[in-house]
Amino acid sequence: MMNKMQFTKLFTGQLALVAALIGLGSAVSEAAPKKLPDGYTVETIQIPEDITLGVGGLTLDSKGRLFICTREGEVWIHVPGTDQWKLFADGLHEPLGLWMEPDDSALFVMQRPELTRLVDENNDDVADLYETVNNSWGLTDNYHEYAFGPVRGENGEFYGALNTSLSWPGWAGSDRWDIGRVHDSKMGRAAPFRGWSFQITPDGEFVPWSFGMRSPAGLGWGPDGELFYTDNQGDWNPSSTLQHVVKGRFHGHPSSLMDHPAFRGKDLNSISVEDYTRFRTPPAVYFPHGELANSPGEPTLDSTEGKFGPFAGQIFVGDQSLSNLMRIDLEKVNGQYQGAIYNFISPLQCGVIRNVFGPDGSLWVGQTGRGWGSLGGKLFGLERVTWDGQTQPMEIQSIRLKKDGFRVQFTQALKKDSISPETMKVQHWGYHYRPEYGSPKVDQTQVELKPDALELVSENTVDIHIPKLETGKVYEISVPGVVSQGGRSVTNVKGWYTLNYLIK
Amino acid sequence: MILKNLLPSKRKMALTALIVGIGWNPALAQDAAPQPDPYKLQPTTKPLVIRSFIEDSPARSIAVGFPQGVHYCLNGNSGKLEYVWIGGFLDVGPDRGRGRGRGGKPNKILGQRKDLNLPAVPIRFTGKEKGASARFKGYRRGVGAPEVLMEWQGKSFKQIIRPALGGIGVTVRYEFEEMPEGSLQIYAPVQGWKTTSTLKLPEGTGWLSAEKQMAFEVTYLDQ
Repeated sequence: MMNKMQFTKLFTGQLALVAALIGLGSAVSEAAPKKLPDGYTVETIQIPEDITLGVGGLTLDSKGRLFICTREGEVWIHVPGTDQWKLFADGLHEPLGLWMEPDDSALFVMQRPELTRLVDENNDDVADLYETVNNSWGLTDNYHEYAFGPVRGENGEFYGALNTSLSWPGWAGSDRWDIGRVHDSKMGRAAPFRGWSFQITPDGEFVPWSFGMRSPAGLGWGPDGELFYTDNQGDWNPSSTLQHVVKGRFHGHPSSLMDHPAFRGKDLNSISVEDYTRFRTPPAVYFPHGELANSPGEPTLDSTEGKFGPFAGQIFVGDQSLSNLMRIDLEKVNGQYQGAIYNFISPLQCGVIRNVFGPDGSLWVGQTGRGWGSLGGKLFGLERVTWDGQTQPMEIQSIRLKKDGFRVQFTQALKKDSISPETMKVQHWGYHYRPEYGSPKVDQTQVELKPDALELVSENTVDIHIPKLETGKVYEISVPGVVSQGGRSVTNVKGWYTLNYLIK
Repeated sequence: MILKNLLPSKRKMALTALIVGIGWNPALAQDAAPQPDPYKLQPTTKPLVIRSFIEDSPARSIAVGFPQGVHYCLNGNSGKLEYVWIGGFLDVGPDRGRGRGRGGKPNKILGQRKDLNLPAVPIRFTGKEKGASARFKGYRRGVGAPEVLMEWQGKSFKQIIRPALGGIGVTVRYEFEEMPEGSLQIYAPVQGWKTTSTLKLPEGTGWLSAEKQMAFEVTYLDQ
């Protein structure tokens, strides 16, 4: 939900305003998603008229009640399947994440200025205690200095991440935040540890963790218990990304280096883009900008063990601008994560930034569109995605790297004669890692596939043989004409695999 | 309905905006339908507590408003009572983008600001640096004034700040669970405020010595 092109914001803002004024708002928001895999339904939750629910965070208690924090500073309890809503806490500073103790004894909330522990001391479903857990990071009144998280580790520690400051006076409207911009980029570091992830130990101590983040709009766990975050496209981030968080890792935005002991006091503008490139760990997954996502939110691991369909162990992510849900499957190649991303459902009623799986395996989707512009036109919302438990969707299940190409697995058995160079296509491109805002696709190349390049290796799996694979590229694999043995075509026909490392 | 109440020229402009979707002027909407601003908050039955950016205030600010029309700004980093104001409470429209924008901008107090010029913690115990190790630890809310939770030299205490009786100002109640070592001193602002206490205080301003008690109150009244 970070800085996008101004014309996009103006256009969508005016569109929403006009739609609201002439009464089209409800019609737009109630339109069914154009892309919805078989077996899935989307339920729009009715929100009482007097609640503004710009969702910043979602979690559940042990009773299955939903706790929702809002950009307006409130925490609401909603009992699923009822019209019961209760205000649990208010007066918070733009909270963007929640985490509930397993025994429901405390709710942790990430506010801009601090991580806070909320406790209902007299069991009336209203928070009494607002206890500061940690507030060690720097904060100015720059509107872009969001705090994201919390995510809890298995040892009781929390993780969070801090947005860079909007520092370019031309956008920020003042030069008072113009600190730490590198090579004339837009974002900077107006206060300590902007652009860092951090750990809060069980004792409440602040530990700087990784750095080089730009707009780390969501954190979550991956399939192996590793931490990941999404970063929004912008300066030093050519397209939005999913990145693996490792202590001491540089994710790419150099303003954060002001707080790194090895760089403190150094002129970051004297370091070349080429040197930053060598220092940076490339993202695990790129989200193609404009086509798939502009502002991804929280990565949510499908830990439902099949209750949400055939994607257990994959990661679901929403996008604030394009109002879609995506899924990601990761693999480790030479010890590093990389993988593929797909659209899943699009569009929903407005921008998606938070998700949480309920105990029944349904996915709650928290939404906000205020101020950033999002497809669908609604300013906020809450939806629930459910799988019927029976219907097998027809989708690309996974794309995995091979030494000589890719293995593409589908969720259903394939009709053999639907596999051909006309029905399966591959192209790739790169991006410029640079201080400018985003990057076009670079060296976009269509891979010519001969008939023998496609090999049906099982009833639902095709190997694509590509003689020469290139690192530092996004490979787009599209399957517009592939059909199942039952004659069903694929709902989301593209997968994008980020290839950083080859199999040795 | 909205258009009907506009002057002909403004009506035409608004209609144009509706049709082509460009050039919308929010001033027209204000002219058309004067409504109470939902972003201008006013406590009615109990105190309101709002954490947000506030103009000309620390980034970690907490605004506490009272139905009596006396409000205060607390530093959410140090626990310092920054200033009080009288009149309206808080316009939270800048933080909330007035319902449509990105927001995140400093909110505006709606009354007359009165700076207290207090140290971070306006009490200390002799032999210790004044307020140097005071820590803000959060707050507890109930039906009355919030309890601000603090720690000084490892000892927990509460500040409960509420509108003062008998004038414009605030009363700060201190409650200790365990009394720190040393003699108690209370800070009386140098100018513009009259400082009184439930403890016996000598005449004067600056740091004044007082007898230690587990709970006591200090009142600052605007002169």
